[in-house]
Amino acid sequence: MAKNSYLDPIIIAQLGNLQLRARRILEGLYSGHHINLNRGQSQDFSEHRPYNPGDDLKRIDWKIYGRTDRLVVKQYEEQSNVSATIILDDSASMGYAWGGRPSKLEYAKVLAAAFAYLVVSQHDAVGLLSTRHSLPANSSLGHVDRFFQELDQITPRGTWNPDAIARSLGTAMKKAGFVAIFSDLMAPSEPVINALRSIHARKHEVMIFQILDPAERELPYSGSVMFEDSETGEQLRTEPGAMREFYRRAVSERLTAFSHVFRGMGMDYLLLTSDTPFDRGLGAYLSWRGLNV
Amino acid sequence: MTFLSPLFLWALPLAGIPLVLHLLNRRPPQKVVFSYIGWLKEAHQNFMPKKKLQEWLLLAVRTLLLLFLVLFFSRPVLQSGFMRSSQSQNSSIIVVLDVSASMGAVVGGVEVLEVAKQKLQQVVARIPGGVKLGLVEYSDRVESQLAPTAEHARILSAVLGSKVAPRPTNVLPALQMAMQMLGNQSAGNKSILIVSDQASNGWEQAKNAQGHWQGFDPSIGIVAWELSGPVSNSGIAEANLQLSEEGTLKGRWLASVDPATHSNWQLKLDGRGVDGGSLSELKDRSVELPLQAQLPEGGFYSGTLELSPDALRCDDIFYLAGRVPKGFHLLVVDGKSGLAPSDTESYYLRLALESPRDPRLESIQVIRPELLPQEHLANYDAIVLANTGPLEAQEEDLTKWIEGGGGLFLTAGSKWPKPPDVPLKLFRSRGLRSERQSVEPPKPDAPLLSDIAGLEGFQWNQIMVQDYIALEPESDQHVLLRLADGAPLLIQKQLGRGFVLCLTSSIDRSWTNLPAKPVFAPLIRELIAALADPLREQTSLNGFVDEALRIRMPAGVREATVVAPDGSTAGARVDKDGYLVWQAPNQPGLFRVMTDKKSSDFSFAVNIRDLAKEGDTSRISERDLKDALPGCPQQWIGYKTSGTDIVVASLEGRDTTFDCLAVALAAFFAETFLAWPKRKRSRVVLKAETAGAV
Repeated sequence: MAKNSYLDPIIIAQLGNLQLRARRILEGLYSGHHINLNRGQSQDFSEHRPYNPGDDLKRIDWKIYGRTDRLVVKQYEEQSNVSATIILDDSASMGYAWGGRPSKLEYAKVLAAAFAYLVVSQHDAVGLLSTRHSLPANSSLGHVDRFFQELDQITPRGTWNPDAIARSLGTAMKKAGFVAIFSDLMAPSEPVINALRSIHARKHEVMIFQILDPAERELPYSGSVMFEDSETGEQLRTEPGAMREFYRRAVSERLTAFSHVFRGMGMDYLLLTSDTPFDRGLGAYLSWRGLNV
Repeated sequence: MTFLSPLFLWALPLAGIPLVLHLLNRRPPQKVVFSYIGWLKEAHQNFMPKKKLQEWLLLAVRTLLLLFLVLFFSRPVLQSGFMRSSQSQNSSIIVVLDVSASMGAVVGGVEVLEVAKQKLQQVVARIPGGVKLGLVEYSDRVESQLAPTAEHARILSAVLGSKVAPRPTNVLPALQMAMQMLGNQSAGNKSILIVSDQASNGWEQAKNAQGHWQGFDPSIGIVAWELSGPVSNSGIAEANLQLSEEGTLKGRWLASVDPATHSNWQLKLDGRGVDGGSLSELKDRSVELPLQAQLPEGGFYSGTLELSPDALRCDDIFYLAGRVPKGFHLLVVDGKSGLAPSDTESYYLRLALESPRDPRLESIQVIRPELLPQEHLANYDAIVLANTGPLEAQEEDLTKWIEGGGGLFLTAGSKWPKPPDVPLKLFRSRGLRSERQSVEPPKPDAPLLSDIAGLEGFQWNQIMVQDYIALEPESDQHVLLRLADGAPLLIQKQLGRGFVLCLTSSIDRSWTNLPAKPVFAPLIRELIAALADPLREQTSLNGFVDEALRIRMPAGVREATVVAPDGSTAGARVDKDGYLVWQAPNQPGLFRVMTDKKSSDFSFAVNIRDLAKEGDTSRISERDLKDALPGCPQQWIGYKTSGTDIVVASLEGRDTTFDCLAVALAAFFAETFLAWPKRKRSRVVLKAETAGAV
């Protein structure tokens, strides 16, 4: 099986539980990218070890080299220095799926689980926040199990109130940290942007994963269709076949606007569709964390 | 507005199909729970106004397309012409009424011309009084005409009095006459209404002319009214009878056969059926059939070849008349003897008559002059005196025999009496002339010679005459052949009921090379036959309507009465050559010629020329009409179209048929343009749905 197949959302969705899925994703990620998770950014020196090709040249201890004529690199005590909170949009719109693909929420949950694994494996703390669920950040391995249990219980329902989420985050995260938001951002733009701006204003590093179903971009319906909003129940009768171009243009404009606004504010923004292999989302995080990918 | 094909208006509801489809398409929509409709609403607001407008435009264009297609087939005519009283004063219409033989066809129990009269009566009643009406009745010529007049009653009266003419059809002279009439009218609306069965044979010349004739005016409106459709017709194209070598009348006739008519045919001569058969089993459309009849020699006959009557009666009967020629007995008195057969005068004569033997020659007797008293002259129909000297006592008997109807052929030679005598003293001799000369060609209509086959192409100057007897010119003689210097070579002279032919040179090769020339045999055969049977030309007594007949009358007949088929009688004189010339008979049938001697009475037959064409029931098309009258605004009214209001509308209205087609085409292109993005989207959706299913 090709490497990418391990990261295909449809295949991953068939695996037993969320934990297993997250592990599988990380295994696929590791096998593909030779990630060195031992970054050792802490100032507490631990020991020396012989230099291996590929090690960062900055970490060579030149004093030892001058004395012994041997190339050794410094190793430091690793410690948790980041608190990461995963905000998961659990509104009804996240339950949308088309063409046999996993729903956006399913996709987001798997990605969030893998993300949590990744964070904890680096001794960082990870927490969870959604409309109806909350888990404070912690870096212990036992915490990961609770994280997964909590994630499993999240179902798509109701609307998403980004302002309320921002306020909850203010309570849960007193110190500045890393905030990963998994949402389709399918809500009126202004409240969303304002809420995310307020999160960013608290010195948090914000990374936004906007997750859409491909059908939400292409609108593959024809004939006369009565669309019903999954969150509000509002209805709209139209002809998607005839207006497809207009819709694509509207979606494209909206996504471009999000990208400009969020990046303009210094936030990381990544658009994913539910058929995108998971490594893209995780790869973006790892790049942010300065890891070699 | 009037419609020339109103039946198509039944299809008018078709124009509502787009609206019905539009309404049917408004079925309950498919319900889809979608994640978020905020963005959909935004697109919907941008898109729907344009979409609605496009949909309504498309609906309108499709409705227009169907509406104008139906109108195109219904052929609408906009009435804007002479019905307006202000314009009626300047409007002229010439009714061109076909009265040719084919208009005598009976369709649905009514003669087509009668249908024309009834319908024209209704049309004329609808035309405003201010419009000038003219009339041209035609067959293959203009039969009658009435200049345009506001007195419609005159035109109507003439129309109602019209009769089928026994002639074929040619519309061209009538069109020329009608356009000439309209050319004489002051400016205004000018139209020609052609009322006819529109048989295609009548339009051949007009189509060939393509309007290239003096007075053709392409601004004149043409309304062609077809009164009847094609009918089943079997007809006689032509027929003839001739005496065969076996002595029976044989002939052939051409028939055009329509199996649907199940025709039988019968040949009736002198009141009794002599031949007949059926056309039902014939598969070819055009066939040639044999005719045969056994009739006594020397007698006149007349009768008909008839087919079972069908719709077109004019070609169901063909009239035949003629005379069965009689065989003849010939006596040759040879004045010259010799050791070899070729030394005699009669040698070349016998060669001409017997190699091969003339079927009319029953017997030939050659004798020396001294044996003439032993012959019973009444046993002979013709006598040849070839280079004989004075015949003394027999000359009086011979003269009486000629005056009683006998025919004598006198040929010159060295044995002839001294000038001024000739045998029987029928001419006066000026003596022998020895001067080598050629022979002048005879006049094309020279009596006796004109019917001889092959004579017209013969090089007469090849005949050289070395010696001949110059004769005194006389008023009662006809010179049939002359020498180059004008001297007569062959002379005809009437004597009582018989006549004499005199060849002023020898009949052998001693004085001339004539017997060695190919013209000699047919010349001698016909001259002898004419002497023996002066009426031999009457084997066929058939003519055509409007064509003069020239009939050889029995000797001695100077006057006759001719009884036409319709019972009318007229006197006729026989000319000095013995011919009755009957000028242009105006009806087909058997004409009885009555003389003072009942045994000399006979009939001649008159038929319609070009019956084969007239019997062809195919019709012209609108295309043919355009070819014949290029540039003229035209309106075709088919026989299936009923209602005289259509005719009136066509006369005074503007045909908008092709305007409707233009609108329909424009609507079609607009529909294609408007519907193109929609069709493109359908293809995209299909691809997207396929992808979704996978």
